[in-house]
Amino acid sequence: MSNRKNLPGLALMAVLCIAMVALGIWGFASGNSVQLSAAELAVPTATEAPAEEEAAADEAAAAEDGAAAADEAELEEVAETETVADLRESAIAERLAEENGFQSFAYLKRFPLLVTGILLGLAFVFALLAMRKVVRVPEKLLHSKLTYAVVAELAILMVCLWIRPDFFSIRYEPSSGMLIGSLITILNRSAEITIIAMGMTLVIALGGTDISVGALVAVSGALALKFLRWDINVYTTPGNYSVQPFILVLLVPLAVCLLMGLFNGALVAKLNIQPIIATLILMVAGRGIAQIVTDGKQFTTGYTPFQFIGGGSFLCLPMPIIISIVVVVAVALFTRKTAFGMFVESVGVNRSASRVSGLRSDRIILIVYMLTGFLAGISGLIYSSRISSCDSNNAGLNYEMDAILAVVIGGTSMSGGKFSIAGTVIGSIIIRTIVTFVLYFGITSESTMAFKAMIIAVVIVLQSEPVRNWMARRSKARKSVVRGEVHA
Amino acid sequence: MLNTQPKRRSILSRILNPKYIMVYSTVAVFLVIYLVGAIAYGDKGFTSLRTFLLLFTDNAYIGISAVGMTMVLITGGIDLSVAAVASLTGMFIAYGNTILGINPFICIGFALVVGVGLGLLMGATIHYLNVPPFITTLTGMFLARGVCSLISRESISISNEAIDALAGWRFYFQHLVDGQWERIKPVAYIDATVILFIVMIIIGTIILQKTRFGRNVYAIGGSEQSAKLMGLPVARTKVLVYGFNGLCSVLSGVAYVLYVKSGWNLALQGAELDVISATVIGGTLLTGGVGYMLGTLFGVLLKGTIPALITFNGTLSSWWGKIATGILLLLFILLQRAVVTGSERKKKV
Repeated sequence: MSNRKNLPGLALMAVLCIAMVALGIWGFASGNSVQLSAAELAVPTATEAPAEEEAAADEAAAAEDGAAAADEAELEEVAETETVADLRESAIAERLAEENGFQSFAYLKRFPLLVTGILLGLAFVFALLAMRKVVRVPEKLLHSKLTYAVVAELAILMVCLWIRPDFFSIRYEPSSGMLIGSLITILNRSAEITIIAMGMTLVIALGGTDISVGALVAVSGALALKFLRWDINVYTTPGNYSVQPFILVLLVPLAVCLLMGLFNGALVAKLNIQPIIATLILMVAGRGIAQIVTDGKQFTTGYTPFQFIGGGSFLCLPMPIIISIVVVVAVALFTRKTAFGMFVESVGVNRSASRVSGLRSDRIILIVYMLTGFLAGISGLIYSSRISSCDSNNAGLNYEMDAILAVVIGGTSMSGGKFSIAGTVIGSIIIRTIVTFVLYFGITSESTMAFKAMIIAVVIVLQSEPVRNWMARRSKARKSVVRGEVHA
Repeated sequence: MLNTQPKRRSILSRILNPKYIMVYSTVAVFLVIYLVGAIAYGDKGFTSLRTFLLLFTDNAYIGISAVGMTMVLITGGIDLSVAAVASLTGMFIAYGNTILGINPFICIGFALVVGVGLGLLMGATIHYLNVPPFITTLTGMFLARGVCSLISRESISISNEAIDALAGWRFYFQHLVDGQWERIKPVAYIDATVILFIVMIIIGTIILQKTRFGRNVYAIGGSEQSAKLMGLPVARTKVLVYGFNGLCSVLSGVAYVLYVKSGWNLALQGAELDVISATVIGGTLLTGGVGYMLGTLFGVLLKGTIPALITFNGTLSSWWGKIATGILLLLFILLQRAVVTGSERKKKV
């Protein structure tokens, strides 16, 4: 009975979906085969975006030339490195697009319509089937925070697609041997947060928080550059070799970060100090230590093997993506294929009960905090390699916040217990997608925070306990009404 | 037999109440560090009244914010948005006055509405939606910082007669020389921000110690569930505490504007950590339920003494300050731990 009431709406939706798909297919097909006329090129979405991008590209190209000419330029711009790097990547993509003969995205202009139509159509068919009880929606799916995160990510991607029709395009770039495209960029730039968030997931599953990771990123970068440039006057140009064995440059920062993680862990596990406050110590002192290591200077390096970590590629993918995949797989295997993940969840739910039932809670907490420190160290190496320099003030700034947000968006509760590795990865990608999305609007990276905050606020409110309970109650209520009618 | 009448205590035993031990240890460490400074740099003028008052002047904006933070920490929450809201206040005043030509006091009023509103909103989200305070206020921080950058990305200087007059107002300490009042040397003064700081500390003390609202704050920090079962207005108290903290953040932003006379979107970056560490050094427990405004006052002074010592030393680089703050934090956290463990043991016995 209730299904019939919805029929006009459903019909409208179906017509809309079919129309969109049809339009999309028509546009796609005609665009590929027929040369577009000038009138068709003047579609607002297709022309406005490139104009904006060109301005950005010019700016970025200038910045790039400066960086290539002298490292000093890089030093001055180190505060804005992130923005410049972002712009530079989009500029490279832009230039490639032009070289390959894609003068505009006009031929793609109905692509968003196509994709949105297909997705909506699928959702519609699925909803219809679910209503007819042909397919049963698992109750779990409706209650899972992960579902909301995935839907949110898809929605943001959809909006990106509407703004930039070529958003999903990925090209192979022979000169650097890398795949290039917005999606690759998002994955690439989210690598640092993803890696840190892996450790953070476990820490939060224990019911704790580690807010020192951002400072550890700075320490790791500072140490790596310090070892790389023991003699400050050499090693500025590419091709010079480090006096230190290169492995030391990688191992020392990681070892120090591991020890700092041990310090955090010891405070939490052995002295029972609240995690936020225990890690606050290193968060405050860490950047001071990084400054002392580098004597307050910003070293730059041109040592190619080191630059490879952040800028190189392997199997056509940028190195940071490869590293983050390795870390995610390793952590997932470590927690899910051994009992360790279950131990962590158990300690997170009730520490003393776990100890009484035979788990060494202290040791588990120590291991998790050490792992987090170690991963922050890896992230610091990637960051400093990406900018070929160390920056004790800005390296890893707000990383702890981003990582915690990634974990929470991914559906791991701050109160400890169950955790989701996949959710965290999606959370981290969501955060980076938002930043990319806002950059496409031509808004500066500092103000992305406001948009990040708004989107995250929506996701968090949707995921909050009362709202989920309310939705669950509503769906239950509807079900009971339907059942009641059937019985009557 | 139940003794319903509260036990009368002598003033001495009231002062020596073990619940004040954290405050006393903060005061003691402050005195020790101040003494060390006095012995090492006494000849350079470390012991002068001027240096002592500069501790207040230079840290007033941290202190004002720490008043609200103390209250939030006592309820067992945390607020990371304070520095961003203070910076936003600065942006409102600078942009409103310099670019739009609005009276700065209207800007301050607007900032108060926004700051308190945001505080109340965050409080409501924390209480009613059950979102952890850390996440909620983190979002608030991102929002406030982002709006700062949306308003302007450049530092805007403020030149307004009223603001200049307020920032330039100073009370100079004077003494009688041959029947005439003269400024003592080296010149020692307090300015408007210091008075605001002291007034906020007094207001905070009165709220916490003398009002029903203050007792509710302590009760919630002790155990929210028990407070709820006792029929205390948990929701109202928690939301209002975050609102009050918003007010303190805005006032701290005003004090910062008077201190630097400009607005910048990246101003006070990371200052929320200074505020939290000053409060923790002042003996407020992050687990909630314990904390005094007097401790916060000395926490702010103690944290301010370290940069002062580094300046007097002249050869040490400023980033040693961060490490010293870290070490102080560690010291006080360990001390708190020892005190809590001690009292728990006593309870068990």
